[in-house]
Amino acid sequence: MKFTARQAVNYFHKHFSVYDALYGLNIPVDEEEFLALVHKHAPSNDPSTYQSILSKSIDFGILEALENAAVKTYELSEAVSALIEHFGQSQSQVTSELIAGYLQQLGRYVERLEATLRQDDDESAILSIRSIDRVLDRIRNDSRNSCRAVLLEAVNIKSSLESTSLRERYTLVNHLWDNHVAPLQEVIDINAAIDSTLGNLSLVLDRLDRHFRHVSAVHTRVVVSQSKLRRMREQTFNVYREAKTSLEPLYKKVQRDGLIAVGAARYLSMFENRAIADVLEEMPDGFLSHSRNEGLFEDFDAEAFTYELIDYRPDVELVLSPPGENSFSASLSLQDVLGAVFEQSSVDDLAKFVEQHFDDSDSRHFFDALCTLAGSGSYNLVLSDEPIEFNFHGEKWRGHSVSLTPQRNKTDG
Amino acid sequence: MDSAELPFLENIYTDLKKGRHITNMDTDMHRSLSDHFDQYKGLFKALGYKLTRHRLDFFYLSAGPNSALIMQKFAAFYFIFLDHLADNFGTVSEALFNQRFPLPSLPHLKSERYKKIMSEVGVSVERDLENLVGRLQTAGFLHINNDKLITFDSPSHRFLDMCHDLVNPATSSDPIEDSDHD
Repeated sequence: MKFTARQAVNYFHKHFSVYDALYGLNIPVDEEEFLALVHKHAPSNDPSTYQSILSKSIDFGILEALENAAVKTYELSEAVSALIEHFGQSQSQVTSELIAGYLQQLGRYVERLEATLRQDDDESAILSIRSIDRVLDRIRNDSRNSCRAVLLEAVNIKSSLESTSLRERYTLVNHLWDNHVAPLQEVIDINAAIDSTLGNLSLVLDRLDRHFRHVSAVHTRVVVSQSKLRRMREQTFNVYREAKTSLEPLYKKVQRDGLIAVGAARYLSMFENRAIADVLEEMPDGFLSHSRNEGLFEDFDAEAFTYELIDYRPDVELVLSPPGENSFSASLSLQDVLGAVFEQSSVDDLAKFVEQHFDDSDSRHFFDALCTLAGSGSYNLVLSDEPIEFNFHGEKWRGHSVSLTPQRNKTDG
Repeated sequence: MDSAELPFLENIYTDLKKGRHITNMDTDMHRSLSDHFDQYKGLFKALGYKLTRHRLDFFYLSAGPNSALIMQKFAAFYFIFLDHLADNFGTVSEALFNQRFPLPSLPHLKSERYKKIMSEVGVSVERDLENLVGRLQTAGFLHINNDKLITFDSPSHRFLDMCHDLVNPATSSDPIEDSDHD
C-alpha cells in the first residue's frame, strides 16, 4: 500500500487513543487483545472495522507483527513508541509504583531471554532485547523528567518563601521528596530490588552474547543494550544527585520546621484535652532544674509572693528561741527523746518511734531529734523509697520514713 | 584537678541549680564547663543532677519533676509561640532566632484558645506574662532589652527539640553532644 506521510500521521492521530493504550500496556498483544483495545478506545457500530484498523495500522507501519512468537502478536513500531514516549514525557514522573512496574517488566523480559537461550532462538532474543531497551530508556527519561520537576518546584518554593505558610510548604516539599527524589534513590540504590534485577539482566545479556557468539545481530543488540543499561544508571545517578542537592537543604529545613510546627500544635491540643502537668509528666527526664533553696528578687514570682506575704499575720504566736536553747515543753526534752533512741540502738521509723514513745511529743521533737542524729555522725539514716502517710498525734503527715542504724566505728573491725 | 578547684565552680553551681542555661555568652563559666565537662558532670551526678551539654553548645541541669508549675508555664509559653510562628511566618526556627519580638506583640493572651491554655498555668493578664518572660530570661532562654524587645537564645532549642521528638521520636533530636547514656 502506497501512502504519504500526511496520510500516516492523520491515521495515527485518528486512532491515537488506541495506540496510546497499547503503549501503556508495554507488552505485545495478540489479535484478540488488540481488537478489544480498539473496541474500548474507538468503539464503532460496525465491529468489522476493528479488523481494518489492525491491518491498516500494520500497513502504515504503526504496528509490527512479531512473526516468531508461538502466537502471532503485535506491538508498536520502535519509531511510534519513541514518538509517544517523547510527547508523553512531560506527564511521566518517577514514582515508587512506576519503579515497581519497570521492575516487573524487566523481570519478565529477563525470563524471556533465558527461555530464548534454552530454545536457541536468536530472533526472539533480539525482540526481547529491544523491549528491554525501551524499558531502560523509559527509566532514564523518567528520571530526567523527575529531576526537572524537582528543580522547578524547588525554585518555586524558594521564591515563594514569604507567601506560603510553613504548613503548606511542609506538605509541598514532603510530596516532592517522597514522589520524585526517593524513587530515584531506588533506581541507583545498590541494595534495592531493582539493582538485583539489573544485575540479573546484565548477566543474562553476557550469557546471550556467548551463546549466540556467531550471530552478529545478537551481539550488536547485546552491546547496545549493555551500553543503555550503563547509561541509564549513570544518568539516573547524576540526575538524582542534582535533584537531591537542589532539594535536600530545603527538605531538611522544612522537614524540621514542619515537625516543630506539628509538634507544637499537638502539644497544645494535648494541653486542651488533659491537664498540662499530666502531659509533661510523661516526658522521660527532668527538663529543668528548679529545685531551689533561696528566693531571688530578680525572680518575679518570688518577688510577687513576698509582697503578698507582707500583709500576712499568723494566727498563732511564734516563739523564736535564742541559739543554744530550744522551745521544748518542760515535760519532754530533746535529751529524753535522744536517750530513748540510744537505748533502742536501731529504729525502723523515727517519726513513729517518737510518736509512740512520747504522748506529749510534737513535730518539733521529731525534727530536732532528726537533725541532731543526722549531724552526730553516729547513725546511718536511710529514707524509704516511697513516701508514706502517717498520723502523728492527729496530724496527717506525708513523707519518707527515716530508719536509723548505729554507725560502726572503724576500730570495731 | 580536685573538684573543689574547678574554676567558677560556685557560680556555675548556683546558676545551673537555679535552672539557668549557660551559653557561650557566659564566657568564663562556659569555658570552664567546656574544659572540664567530665569533672563537672561527675560532680553534679554525685549531687543528684544530670549535667547536659546540648549539641548547640550550652549547658543545663536536669532535675525535678516536669509537672512543676514553672515548667508548665515555660512549655505553654513556647508551644503557643511556635504555633503562632508556624501560622504567621514562613519558618519557625529562623523567625524565632533571627527576629526580635516586642513584648506587647506576644500572642499568648490575644486569642481565646491561647488565653485558656495560659490561664491554666496561672498567666491571665499582661503582668503575669511579663513576669513569665522575666523567668525565661533568668533561665537563659531569652533576653529582653529596655525597649521590651525579646530575643530568643539558643537554649530555646530545647523546646523545639521537644516538638520534633513528639512527632518523630524515631529520629529523636538528641540534645547531647557528649552522649551520656548511663
